[in-house]
Amino acid sequence: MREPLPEAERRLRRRIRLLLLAVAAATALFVARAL
Amino acid sequence: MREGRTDRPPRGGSGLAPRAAAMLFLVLALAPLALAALSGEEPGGWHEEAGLALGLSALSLLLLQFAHAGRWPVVSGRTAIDVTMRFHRAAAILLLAFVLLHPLAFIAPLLLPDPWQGLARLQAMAASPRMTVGLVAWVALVATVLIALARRLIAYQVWRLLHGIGAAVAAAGAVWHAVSIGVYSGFRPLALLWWAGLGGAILLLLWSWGWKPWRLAAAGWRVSDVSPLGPGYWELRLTGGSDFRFSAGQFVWLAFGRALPWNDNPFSIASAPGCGHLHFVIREAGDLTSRIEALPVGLPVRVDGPHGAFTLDRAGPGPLLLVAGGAGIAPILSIARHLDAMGETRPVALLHCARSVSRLVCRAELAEIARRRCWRAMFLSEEDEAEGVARGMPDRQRLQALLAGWNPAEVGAMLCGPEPMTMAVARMLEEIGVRPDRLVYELFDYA
Repeated sequence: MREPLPEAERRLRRRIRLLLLAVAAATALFVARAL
Repeated sequence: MREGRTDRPPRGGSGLAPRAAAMLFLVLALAPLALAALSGEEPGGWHEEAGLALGLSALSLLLLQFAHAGRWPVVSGRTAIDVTMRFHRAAAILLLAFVLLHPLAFIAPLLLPDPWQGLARLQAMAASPRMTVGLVAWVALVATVLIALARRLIAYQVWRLLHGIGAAVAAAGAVWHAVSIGVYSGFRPLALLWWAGLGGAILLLLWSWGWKPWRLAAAGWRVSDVSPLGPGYWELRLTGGSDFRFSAGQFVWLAFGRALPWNDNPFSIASAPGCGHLHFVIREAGDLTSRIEALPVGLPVRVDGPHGAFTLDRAGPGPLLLVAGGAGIAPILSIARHLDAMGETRPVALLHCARSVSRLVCRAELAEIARRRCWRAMFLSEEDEAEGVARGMPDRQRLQALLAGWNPAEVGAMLCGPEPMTMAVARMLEEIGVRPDRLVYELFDYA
């Protein structure tokens, strides 16, 4: 079983994911103009 | 011989604050979509818009990748460079997904009901002369990301060269493809943004591989000593450089002799700022580190740095815990030597772990500093034991013993070692009550 990550590491990974999710969400929003 | 200036730089270093760097990334990454939306073009079908949006976002992500990986102080001066490199890798996966889906989205209405007809259409699209440059960029980008994922199978310097060339070909081809046949990229402000982005990316690559190595070669650093420290561990000393300021805990990229610009390797500085030379603890691990002992005295060395945010100002003003595992002792040595030289008065505890007693490099010096400064010190060996060295691994009881009597919420902890050890110790310290924002560590994986 994998050990849980420390909160400091989870926060950093969350921030990285959030930034990239924002790009993906904006791309989806752009497509939504055509619907 | 010139005396090196190794004073401490201003607190915080230069460059954008992490939050500002993140906001700038978002603004630049989303600017092409915003300009496309403002271009006045009527949206087409959903699949066509999806193909175009994926292409626009992929190209902006690709151009921004040059800034994350360029060791550019504006981007990575205050955000730790290991964090910008980890972001670079995560963004590359999103970029690859967008690039793979970009052509498929255009044929989605055919592909979903009849995959064979869809693939035939895709083949016809790829065969069109208008698509040649875009196809070259697509192949270059996919190959560059896949090679990066398999980089451990390739010699480090070969991978670095392929990565740079592949990314440049992909960026140039993709910008040409967008401005020549793109629906939205015909909008002048967007076309100008693409050309400016490509110009910036190529300039950054030329700066990294051309101007910077040439300038660094003139700094005058040379090998002055290479001596063994323990099984597989070497001490490297450089002298003669000028105007080099760093903070204890930072690292540099070193290129020896006439090494090509993409053939440098990162090493943490083990000496204290202000001592006039640079000292490194190097563990034999790869192509270059296995040849360290053969480096001749007097060999010129290019020193690119300082980099990294493994610095004391991030640990706060409270009691300090320093934890080193294996070769992670190098930046901890720099910090310990710096605190000793500055006559630091706050409580300090030191935990040094290694596979064997003989690999606890510089143990005598650290024990002497700890004795002189009344620090708490603990040395652990996995395989054996000796006087002053216990056998075992870091565990919660040992960490609690090191922090006994201190308020854990005020403790700042600096951890450097293999990732599993660093993560395990960080988790145990959080369980004890150390605040996550007072845990300072860097995870490196450039192999």
